Amino acid sequence: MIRLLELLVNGVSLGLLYALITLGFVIVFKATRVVNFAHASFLLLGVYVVAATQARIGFAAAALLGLAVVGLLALATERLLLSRIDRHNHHAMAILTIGLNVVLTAELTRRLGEHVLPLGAPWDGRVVDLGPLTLPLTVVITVAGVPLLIGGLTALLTLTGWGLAMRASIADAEGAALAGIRLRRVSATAWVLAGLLATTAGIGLASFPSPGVSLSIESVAIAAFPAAIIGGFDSLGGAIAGGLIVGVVQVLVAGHQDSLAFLGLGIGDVVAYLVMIVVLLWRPSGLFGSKEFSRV
Amino acid sequence: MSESSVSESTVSENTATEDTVAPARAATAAGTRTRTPPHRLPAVAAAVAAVVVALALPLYVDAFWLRIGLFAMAAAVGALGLTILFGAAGQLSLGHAFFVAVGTYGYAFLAGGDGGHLTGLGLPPLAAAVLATLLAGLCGLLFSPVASRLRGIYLGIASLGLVFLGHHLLLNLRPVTGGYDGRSVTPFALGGFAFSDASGLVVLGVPFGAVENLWYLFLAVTVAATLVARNVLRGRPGRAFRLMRDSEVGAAAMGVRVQRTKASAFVLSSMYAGVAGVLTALAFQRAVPDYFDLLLSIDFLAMIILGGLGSTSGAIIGATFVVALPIVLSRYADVLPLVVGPGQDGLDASIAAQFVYGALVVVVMLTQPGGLRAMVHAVRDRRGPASA
Amino acid sequence: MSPPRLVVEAVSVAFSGLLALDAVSFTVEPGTVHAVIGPNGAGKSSLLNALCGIYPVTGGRILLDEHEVTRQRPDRVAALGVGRTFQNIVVSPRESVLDNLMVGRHRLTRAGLVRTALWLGRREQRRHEARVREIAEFAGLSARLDTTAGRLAYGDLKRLEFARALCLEPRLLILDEPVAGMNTAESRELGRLVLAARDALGLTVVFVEHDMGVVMSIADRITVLDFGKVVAEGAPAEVRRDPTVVSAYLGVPDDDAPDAPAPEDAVTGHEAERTPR
Repeated sequence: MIRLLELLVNGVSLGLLYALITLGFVIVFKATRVVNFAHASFLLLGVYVVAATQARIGFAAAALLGLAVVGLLALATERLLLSRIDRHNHHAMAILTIGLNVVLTAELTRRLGEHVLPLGAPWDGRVVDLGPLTLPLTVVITVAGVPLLIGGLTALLTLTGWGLAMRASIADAEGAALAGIRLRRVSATAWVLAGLLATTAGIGLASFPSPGVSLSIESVAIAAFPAAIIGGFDSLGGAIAGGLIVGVVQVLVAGHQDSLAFLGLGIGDVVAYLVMIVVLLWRPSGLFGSKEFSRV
Repeated sequence: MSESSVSESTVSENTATEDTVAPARAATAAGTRTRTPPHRLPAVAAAVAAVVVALALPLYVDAFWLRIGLFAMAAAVGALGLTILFGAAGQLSLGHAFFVAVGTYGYAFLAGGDGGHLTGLGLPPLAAAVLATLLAGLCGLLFSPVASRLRGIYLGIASLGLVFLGHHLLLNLRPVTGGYDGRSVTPFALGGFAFSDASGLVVLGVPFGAVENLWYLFLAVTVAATLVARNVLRGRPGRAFRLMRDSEVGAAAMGVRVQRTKASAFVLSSMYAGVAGVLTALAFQRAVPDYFDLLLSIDFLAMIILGGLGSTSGAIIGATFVVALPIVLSRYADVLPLVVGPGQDGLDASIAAQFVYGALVVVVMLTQPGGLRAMVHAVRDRRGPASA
Repeated sequence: MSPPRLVVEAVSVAFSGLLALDAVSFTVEPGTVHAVIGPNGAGKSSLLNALCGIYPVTGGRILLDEHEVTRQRPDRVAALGVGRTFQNIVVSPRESVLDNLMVGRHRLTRAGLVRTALWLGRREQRRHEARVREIAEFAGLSARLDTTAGRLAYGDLKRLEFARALCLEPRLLILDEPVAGMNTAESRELGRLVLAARDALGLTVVFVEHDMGVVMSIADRITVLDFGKVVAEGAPAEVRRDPTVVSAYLGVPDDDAPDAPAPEDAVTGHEAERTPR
């Protein structure tokens, strides 16, 4: 029972990190209708920068540097590359991000190889006893901190001018442009925000109990794609729900690996995709997605 | 530009009796038709020349290049399937590697024998190859409830899951797949003739080993796959695919059954991937799970993008480029700047190749979203009677 | 085959609670040309999309002769011999005009993947290509058959869609603003083409149009919609005199016609989207 509870908390923690990744992905999609296939490699780049520099400049400065690098990269992607493509040609933009993903992954593979770099976060390696539960400090911080972050983001979207502009340009890009909303600024902000969220989530993913920063972080982060589809792809609430579902299911399944042996070793890594396919068979537009989006 | 008067007169003729205008129509039609053959002639000549060169190549070129050719042809068949699915029908699949794996392991299992902890059915290689292709098609059919209801890029993300699920199966279905170590592949044989080094064939003084024999087998399969793809793309299904890509509602209004058409494009492309998988098995002579990862799916996508979406020749050229690039870079690592051979310190050839083709995908999307084919078309249209 | 009768009985269409069509009824007699007019947002395009099975009908029914088409899928409706054009041109911009027209033969041809792959679809294709060339000739597109559709002038694109709808060999032809964005000469010519096609091929025609000149000259009957309801119906001369129509619609000069009907039309390949001006 206690073990199940521990698993659940761990699952929620992982799910919240997925929610952050998925949120960035979905925000970019909503604001620009671009599917960013490079999202997972943005994340890996961010934590790589943190891990590679923390020994020299300390973790806090390294984390800021990682956030800055990915934020700038996202901005550059939007400003220097995507803005040169016809705004309606979302296919071309998505494919461009695939090319970008290949280049980024190649560079990170070159730099990381088989290495595992320590992240050097102050909470790394520490566990906390909460009553009967023993939890990594990372998990406690995630479970407490990420909801605050998501709350702040919601406030940003509902209360600020930028949020209003973004929601308006999602609803009706042409109309928003006529009303004086600068679509470019909205989409640039969305991209930067997505990069920052991904890096933040990456720091969580690479912290204890994970051994550190390695190439496998990227394949973990890719699970944000099925999370986005489960949630509905164009719904922010769905992104959070999808992330949580994937996180909890992964941890629960991996935790019961022995009794699920008939499904094969490492089923925890692929269960997200199974859930995704089941959800798609049941609801092609995901749990919270709009119908129009996948309607035939 | 006296066009409106032309159509007006035909209108009045037509309203009188529709059939009497036939001779006049034939004349004008012939007038406009003469423009097409000069366009097609060079393409046909180029295709014939390519096949002739390919037929003669084993007599002149050593096994290193022929082996690249085998991998390129295997990839080309897979790329043809993907260009039908994504280029024509507009349905992205990042699960292509999965169906290639079904072809590879399907063949290995069906043609392979029992041994150690592995099982196999020991079927004749040709039967195994055909059944492996059908098996890939069947897997595509099983996924079609998803593939027929999703659109475009969205399907791309959903199909990504197949690669991870497939990899999981490859590692865990050990009696069939051999698990992490994979399994070896029975060489192809047809009517007692083995496509292996033991064939003992000598042509014009050149001893034909496995590579040379397989070359002709692969060439025949690639040519057949190309012709089939061309027929499909130029015929009724291809036209329905393209209108569906540009507007699902428009296609439905023409009587196209959208869901069914999406499913059929997906199944066809899975079968192409299955053939590619069988060829890959024969070329590698071994099936290993780590080959069939997401990167392989992205490789296929890069092939058809660089070659030009929806184009059969583009798929072949793109496949050759993406396959050959890392091998050639690695071979000439000593003379090339920056690049080093495997195991040395520096820029690994396979990573260098990824830099090159990843960057090329970005450049193609920025400059000419239709790929090389659109570039050629743009030049041709400028040269031709543009405002005709 | 004789032209069909179209009966629209109390048809309603609602989008998330908003009533785009409210119990619309009218009958289109066989072989007639029937115009649907009304101010922007009156529900004209929604009506056409409901007829074709693209928008779900929430109430009432639609009959094409004895066939009920109320909740049929669009491809089933097309299979019954309903050809249509779209308000914001829907073609494959990168394909040739001939290819675009040949798609119109889809429902009349049979060659599937296997037959096409094995060279067995060619005779059928040649036979139908001959007929398509005939129709292109009729629509004045013969000289453009090898041109990429995306390179056509606007008026030619409109005629391409019209010709493609004819390639379906329809019995009921539905046109959504067939002359929008054309100049006067082009509009008049297309109006003549519609009548010629009706006479030569035995069609029933339903169309939506803002150009009153064309409407009055080719329509046998007119239904006037406003806020999703029928406000008047009759022969052109009657409708022109009807005071409700004059106040609701005709009295208002209709210069700014960029039409945005109910929900954003789900109908486009974006490359095909063009603004006439």
